[in-house]
Amino acid sequence: MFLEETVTELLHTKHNKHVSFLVVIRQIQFTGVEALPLIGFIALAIGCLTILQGYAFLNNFGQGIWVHIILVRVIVGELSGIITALVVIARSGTAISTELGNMVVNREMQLLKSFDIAPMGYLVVSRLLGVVISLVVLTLYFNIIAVVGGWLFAQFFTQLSFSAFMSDFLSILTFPYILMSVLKSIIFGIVIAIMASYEGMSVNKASTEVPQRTIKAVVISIFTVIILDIFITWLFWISA
Amino acid sequence: MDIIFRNVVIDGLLNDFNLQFSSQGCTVLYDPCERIATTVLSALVGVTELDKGEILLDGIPREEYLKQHSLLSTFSLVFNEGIMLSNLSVHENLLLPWDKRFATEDYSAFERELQILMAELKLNCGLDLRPANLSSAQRKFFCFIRSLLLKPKIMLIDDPYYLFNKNERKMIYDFIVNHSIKNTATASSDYPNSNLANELFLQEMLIGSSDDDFTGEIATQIIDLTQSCY
Repeated sequence: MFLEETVTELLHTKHNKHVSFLVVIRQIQFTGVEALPLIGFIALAIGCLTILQGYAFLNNFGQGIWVHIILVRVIVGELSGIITALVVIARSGTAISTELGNMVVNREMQLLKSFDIAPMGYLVVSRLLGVVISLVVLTLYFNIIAVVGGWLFAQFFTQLSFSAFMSDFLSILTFPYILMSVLKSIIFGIVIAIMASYEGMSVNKASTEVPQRTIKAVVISIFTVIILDIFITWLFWISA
Repeated sequence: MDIIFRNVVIDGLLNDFNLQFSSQGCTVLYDPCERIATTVLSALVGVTELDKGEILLDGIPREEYLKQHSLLSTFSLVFNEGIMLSNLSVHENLLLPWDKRFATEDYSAFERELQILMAELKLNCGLDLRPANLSSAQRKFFCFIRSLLLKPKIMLIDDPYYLFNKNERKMIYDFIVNHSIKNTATASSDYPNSNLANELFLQEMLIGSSDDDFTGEIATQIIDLTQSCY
């Protein structure tokens, strides 16, 4: 029912544009822009470690030069989406759930109703759009930093030019990998925003419910994201 | 406006409640238990859902009436707790419903009226602050301003004195008296722009209060809800 109401309001976003635009922008600012340093740091570390492990392993067979295959398979295909989603759950999922829970306790939903503004459209759909847009951009950013960082780190082992590295990398990076990465980030964004909003809006009257609902939102979001990640990867694997 | 509550049931709050009155000038719902009036005002703006019964506005079911007249042009409720949206600044809080109500109107009118009303209530805090940075009394003052800026057909005020100290009570009492239609002729000359001043007076107010102050000079009519309390 919550999902149905969210979809209905999403289809009326154009009608609510004047009231929700500000909330979307602020959500992108918090979920996307302010997460860039953390995502960048993690991506750089993951890129370097993947190159380190991959090069050490492949070099045993004299194939150390093929580490970019690992970069595409592991980082673009898997890690970028799921790590970005986990960071967004930890930062924005908790924030959304807590903020909405406190708004319910403070009767702010009633205030919105008294303005004839649907809380679902104004608060939930705005956050849904903000989180999905942010997650897609953050995942792309993760991929770029991890790959470029990986190349920089690879310079310790091999003298591979950037153009040659990128040329090999892009030859492996086929459209299905890009599609899978984008699709995952969109679906993860929807899951995180819906779960966090649902739990936040489910608070009744007591402020003690807010942390309980936030924890529940985090746990359910993590489980759902991991299960969906496996399912989407499996779908791409059987269709390949 | 003729307002009728017919056999209204709201779980734990109203049980087969009936009320009929014609709102004129300043109507005071005198409610010593402070529960019935709050529920009546909340039900009028649709914040509280009815379990049974119906509300008629000028003889038309509320939902039908509000399809013909927008909610914001009909009612504006000042909640007793002075509620503002915590995710917006004070200015954005004031602008949000105004923008919805007067989407095509000149934004500068909003700013002019806001400055007049802030001066009247001696509010000089920054409008870029979040509501959490204000005192609860300041928040409630802004809620009065927000409702008045919407120029509704009927301004609903729930427990006007709640959250105020003695001086603030005097200020809000004067504010309500100054903006009631009874005082249009005498008070409009105090405003720098008389056309603007005329717009800041309310045709009708519906006040829910347990306080005798609001059953005196200010009230055009008093509806005593004492019997419904017990």
